[in-house]
Amino acid sequence: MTIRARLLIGFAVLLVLLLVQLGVTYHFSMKTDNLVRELLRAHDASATVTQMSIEAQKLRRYEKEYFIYVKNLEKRQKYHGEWRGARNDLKNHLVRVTSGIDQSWDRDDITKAKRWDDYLNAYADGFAKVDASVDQGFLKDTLSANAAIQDAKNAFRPFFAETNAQINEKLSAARGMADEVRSDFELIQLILLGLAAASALIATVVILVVPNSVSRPIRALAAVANDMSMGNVHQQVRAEGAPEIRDLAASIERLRVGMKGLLTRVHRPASRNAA
Amino acid sequence: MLEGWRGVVRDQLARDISFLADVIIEEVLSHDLNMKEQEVRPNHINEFLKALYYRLPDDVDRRAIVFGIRDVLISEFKLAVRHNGKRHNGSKLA
Repeated sequence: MTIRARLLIGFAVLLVLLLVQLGVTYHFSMKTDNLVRELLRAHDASATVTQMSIEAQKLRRYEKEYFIYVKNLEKRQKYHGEWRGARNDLKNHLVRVTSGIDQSWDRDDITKAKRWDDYLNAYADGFAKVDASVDQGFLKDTLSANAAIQDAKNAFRPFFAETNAQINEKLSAARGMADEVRSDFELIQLILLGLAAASALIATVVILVVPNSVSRPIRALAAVANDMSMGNVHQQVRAEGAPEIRDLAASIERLRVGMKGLLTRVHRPASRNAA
Repeated sequence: MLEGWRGVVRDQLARDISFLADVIIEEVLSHDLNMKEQEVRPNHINEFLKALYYRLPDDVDRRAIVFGIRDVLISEFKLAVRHNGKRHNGSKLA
């Protein structure tokens, strides 16, 4: 194999390995980027649903306080105000989700959020009616007020179960994506290490083989040429090694034969030359 | 005559013995055949090759070289050389 071919093959293999490395890195970085984006969406959605669940718990707590202090106008109004604040916060979350302002929600999630909004509206309507009845004096004690709000509470109950399920679903999806990112990272580490090892091996082979295959025979031929220049034309030049080196050796051998023949004729007695 | 025969022989011979080709051809012509370049005819080829064989250095494959030159001459000048050395017609024969 020629020296040029050896170099070309060595560098071509190295180039292929580099391109594979580039392709693998690009593929996995794109995949990881998408996964991280999805993971963040799932995380944000989970955080929003958690916040909704907290606000819903606050609603129930203020509702209980309201009914406890149903005979105490000042405290009743205070907890009614707290209840409205929590309801507004929850409503704002739901509006952000159902209107599409919050980008971390997909179509199924929005459908669920609309259902949750219906639960909230039903509960809020029921609470407003009970509050009106309390204000008008139709409901005067905690027990009767609690009984009056029962249907509205039942209408709101699925909100807790569904939001908890949604939190778990989103956290589970985020965890799955995080695991996939980690698994991809381990895989890409292995691939890149393998490619680097193969590249290093090929580079080592090229470094060890090519310079020797060039310099050693050239040094040998230089020594032969040096001998010839000093008058030693009897040592035959062997054509060995790569084709380029063999061609050079053949040329030097031709020169040696020519020089030897010429020297023979120069040293031959004139009478023999003429014969 | 064989026009340009010496150049053909020299080129072929120089592949094995470089510049010595000219020297040897001259030796064969002037010492062995006692002829000038222009006087060489197809019927002199075998004689020329035989003399060339003995003039070639020992370091080379003399037989292969001589047969190689013979083949080139036959091909180049459309010669038909018999074993007894007598020539036949060829397009470049004068």
